[in-house]
Amino acid sequence: MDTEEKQGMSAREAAVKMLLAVCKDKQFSHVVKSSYLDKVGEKRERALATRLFEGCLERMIEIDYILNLFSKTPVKKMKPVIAAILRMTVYQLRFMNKIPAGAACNEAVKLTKKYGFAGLSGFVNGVARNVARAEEIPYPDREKNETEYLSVRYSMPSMIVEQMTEQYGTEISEAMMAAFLNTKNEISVRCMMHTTSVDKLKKCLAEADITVEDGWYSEQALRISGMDAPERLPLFAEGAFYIQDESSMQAVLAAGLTGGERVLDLCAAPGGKTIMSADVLAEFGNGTVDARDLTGAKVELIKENMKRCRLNNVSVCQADATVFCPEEEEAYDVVLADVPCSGLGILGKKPDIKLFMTAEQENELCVLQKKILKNAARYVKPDGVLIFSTCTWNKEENMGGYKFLKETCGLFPESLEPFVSKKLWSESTKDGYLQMLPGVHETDGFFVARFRKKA
Amino acid sequence: MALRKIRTLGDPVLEKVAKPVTEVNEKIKELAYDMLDTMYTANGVGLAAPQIGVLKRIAVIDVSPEGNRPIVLINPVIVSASGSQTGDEGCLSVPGKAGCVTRPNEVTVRALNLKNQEIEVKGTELLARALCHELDHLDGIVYVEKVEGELRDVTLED
Repeated sequence: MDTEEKQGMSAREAAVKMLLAVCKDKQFSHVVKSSYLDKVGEKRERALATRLFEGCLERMIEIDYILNLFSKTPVKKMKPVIAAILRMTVYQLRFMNKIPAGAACNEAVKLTKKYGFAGLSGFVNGVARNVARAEEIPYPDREKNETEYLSVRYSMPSMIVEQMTEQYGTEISEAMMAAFLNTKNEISVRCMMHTTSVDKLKKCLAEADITVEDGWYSEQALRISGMDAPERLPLFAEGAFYIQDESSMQAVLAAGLTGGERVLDLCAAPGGKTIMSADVLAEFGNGTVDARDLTGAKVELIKENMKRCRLNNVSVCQADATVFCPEEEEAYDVVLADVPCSGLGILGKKPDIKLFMTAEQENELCVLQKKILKNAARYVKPDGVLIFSTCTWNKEENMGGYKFLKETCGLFPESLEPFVSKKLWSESTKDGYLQMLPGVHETDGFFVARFRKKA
Repeated sequence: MALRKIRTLGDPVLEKVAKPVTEVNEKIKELAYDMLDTMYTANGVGLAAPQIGVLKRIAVIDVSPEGNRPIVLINPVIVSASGSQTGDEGCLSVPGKAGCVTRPNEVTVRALNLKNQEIEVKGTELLARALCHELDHLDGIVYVEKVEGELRDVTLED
């Protein structure tokens, strides 16, 4: 056994394997990360593997554009392993300043040989060194083809660029795409109000040498930075806080819980909105949450989170939200319908979404969303409240669902202004919906709408 | 959060009238959560503050089979009661025993929640019975005083 094997996989090899798992086997990036990162021995190597992997996914389109400028064989025609090695190498050469070009190229050649492509090591070396030598890479001409320019500049598939600019105009779209690439190393968390207070939590986090700032849109939110795995903090294990973007908190705030309600969270996993609602209700001492999700694994995940947060007012069970459950007709004061969506609002956190999204998938999602919303509306008591939310900016999904609820489900929209921070008010909040956009707001891309059922 | 010791029959604290809560503050909140933890751990469906030796008018109840529908009541009063039901009752302060008690079948209770807001809780059947039983504790009454016939021994399987 050589020393390398004893210490585990090298960062670059792990990055290549993870890229292959995503690009060739179409696995989800977070799944891939959890199954490969443990095999990397040292902490520093793990951090490098993560950076290389996530960086490549995030910048894939720009990287491929660069590779195609310097390689006679286009990336699409390369063997998957060679493409992964070169992508990783270009990322190091163009997007990381601390790695010497020579080292990046040598490592690429070594890996190529290790994978049994010694015959291609000359090709890999040549392309890598050409990229390393190039001083400036010309972007596509913006005047001639704006979509292509934006697509390469922000590593966003043309289909999404077109959709975005059509819906929001170039200026907002560019701000949004820049925000996706410029994710701050900042995590939004929510204080568990029934067991601790914001001041206490702030103090404890500061004592653990974590940079803490107030939330932007909610008093119960904090922004923490200066650490890569908040899940490893004892405070997290004790359930003093949990990780939730402030945008998603708005969905629960929009419900305007006053204690005593019976709440249904239809698509609950991993449970952020369930936890928040249950915590708010526990503060009153009354009211309960029923959480549902499609798969057993997701249900277990929610249960685990409940236990950690010491919430005893939640019942979790497995159920398909597209199948109507007649026993629960008109049984809930509040129904949270955070429907499955394209996820185009969280590309900063899950960059692989953009690489695989297709128009057909978006259309299928719209159909699925309406199926779920139709059931969700039927579970609401007369005069009860329904909150519809997604983590996308796509108007076809969001406004499609909004119109569907308003026109066909016996619900009417209600102003969000009594419930959400003034900083989030817009022309639409009076009409009962709110579109948060990264680059415009300090959040993920997220949509929230509030409806009341006719009494 | 912490588990509290449950006082059993014979402890004089169970015979005293509890005092109203004057301010719903952090301490009361903590006490209520402790009571819930204690109740769930002991597999009970209700617990009143005097049962853990605290003479305050606070009761917690959860009659759901899964134990995930907690109700916290501060300074509760019954505002209406109707109907009647006769059936077995037990109490965490009288371990291993059960007895038959007649209670109203529907009751409405007014109380404060943990945010000091007035709430109304309506209960029928088991919930009505639990509400009456716990509110009795706040007045120093243990159900054994109301048992019709004999207090029986019960085994765990019951």
